[in-house]
Amino acid sequence: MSKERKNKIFRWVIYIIFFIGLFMLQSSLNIFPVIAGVRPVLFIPAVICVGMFEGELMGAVLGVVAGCLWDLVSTNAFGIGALFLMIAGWATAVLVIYLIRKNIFSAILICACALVFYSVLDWITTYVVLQNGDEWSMLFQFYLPLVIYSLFMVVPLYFLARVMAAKLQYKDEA
Amino acid sequence: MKSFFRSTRFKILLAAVMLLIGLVLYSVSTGGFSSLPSSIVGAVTTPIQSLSSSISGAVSGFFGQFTSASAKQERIEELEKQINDLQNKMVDYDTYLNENEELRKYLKLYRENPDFVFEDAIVIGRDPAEPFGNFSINKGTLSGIKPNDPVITAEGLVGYVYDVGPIYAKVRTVLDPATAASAIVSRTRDYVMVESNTFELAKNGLCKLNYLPRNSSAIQGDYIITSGVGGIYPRGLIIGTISEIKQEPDGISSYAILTPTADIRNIKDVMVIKSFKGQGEGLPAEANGNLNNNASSNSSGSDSSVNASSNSSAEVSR
Repeated sequence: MSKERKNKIFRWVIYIIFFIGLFMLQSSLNIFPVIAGVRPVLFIPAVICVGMFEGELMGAVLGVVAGCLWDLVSTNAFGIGALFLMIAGWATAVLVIYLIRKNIFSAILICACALVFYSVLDWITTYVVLQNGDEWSMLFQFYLPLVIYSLFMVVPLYFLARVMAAKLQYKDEA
Repeated sequence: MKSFFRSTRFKILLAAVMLLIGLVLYSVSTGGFSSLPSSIVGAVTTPIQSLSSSISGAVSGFFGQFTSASAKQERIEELEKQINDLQNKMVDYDTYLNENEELRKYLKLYRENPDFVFEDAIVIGRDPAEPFGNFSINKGTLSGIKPNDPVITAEGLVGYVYDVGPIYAKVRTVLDPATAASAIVSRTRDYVMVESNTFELAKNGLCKLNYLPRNSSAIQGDYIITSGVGGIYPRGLIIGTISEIKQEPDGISSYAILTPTADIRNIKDVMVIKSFKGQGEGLPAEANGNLNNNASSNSSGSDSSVNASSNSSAEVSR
């Protein structure tokens, strides 16, 4: 096996381990403090940040990996998270290539859009359809704090993804 | 020699001897009490003896420290090891005590319901984007868990399994609006439904109890137990207690706020009831097909005759 191929495999393995670690952080109860009744979603910011630095293929594939892990604990049907995160990872990479700059502000903007989109979709499909009468309080008292709390995770995840990409790409070139 | 006996030194010596003999005779004559001279001498010498004794003791102790240091060190290490062992035993003891207490509660439940087949499981994950406390457990089809199996803790009902993989299962809690359970007010025997939960209640760990008859004598603190109707939950599992009773806007019926006895948002260990008498009765054929064939169908405690049978279909997972 060539050195280049070994490095590529190494890079994939590192990212998969990274997402497994994030899965443990995200789905464990006592890692992040509960603020305003919510804990942060890590996968959306992480996939977007990795997609930003690693391109379309890795963004999409790692989105699927992260989404499958998320679907293991999510109440949604298996595959919805994978589909959403695959599109998020791929779209972020495309946006960075053709439309926007690769910086922390772009990452926050894309993450905000993705989190709001996911939250509204989840709110409509799982709660609004039940018509229990307190849909709006759920939107503002659960999903809004969730989006805001998760956005705070973008900053550390952005710099972590940047460092990982730089180290792993350097290893590739070397 | 002659000159010696005549010398002053000899005369002084002789006088001293005589004095001492006289002293001895005097002491003997006092009958065991100390004589004045001995008291005087003692008064002078005792503090000195005490001082010398304490000094010698201190000196002896000081050097003794060095001479016995290694032995003491060994003793200290031995005692520290004993303390560590005892501390570990205390931790084990607390763990076993908690486990024992927990299992005793399940044992009580098992003795009351020998038809129950339990599978213990650990909560492995909770989705942060999910507000109703649903979670995943570390057991799945390989452990015999099926969709619609009830999930409990020693304190009471938690929910039911709604999705199963080989080594994991997802549990929908009673806080979820998509969960419905037919129940009874334990004291008054009124049939009610735990359903249509709202976010406002769920975020405070509460449930809604519907169809409470207007003339019901149910009061705050009454226990709510599963009715067995519907075939998902066995009869008699504690769900919680009534914390508040309110009137529906239509005025026909009331509803109650239910506080689950299980701490649903913080539980770490659960039991899945894999099989019980009457499991699957009242479920549609499609849902029933998922249930284990081991579940006995000749339930003597079947709830099919109860008046609330109209609610049974509502207990089926949506």
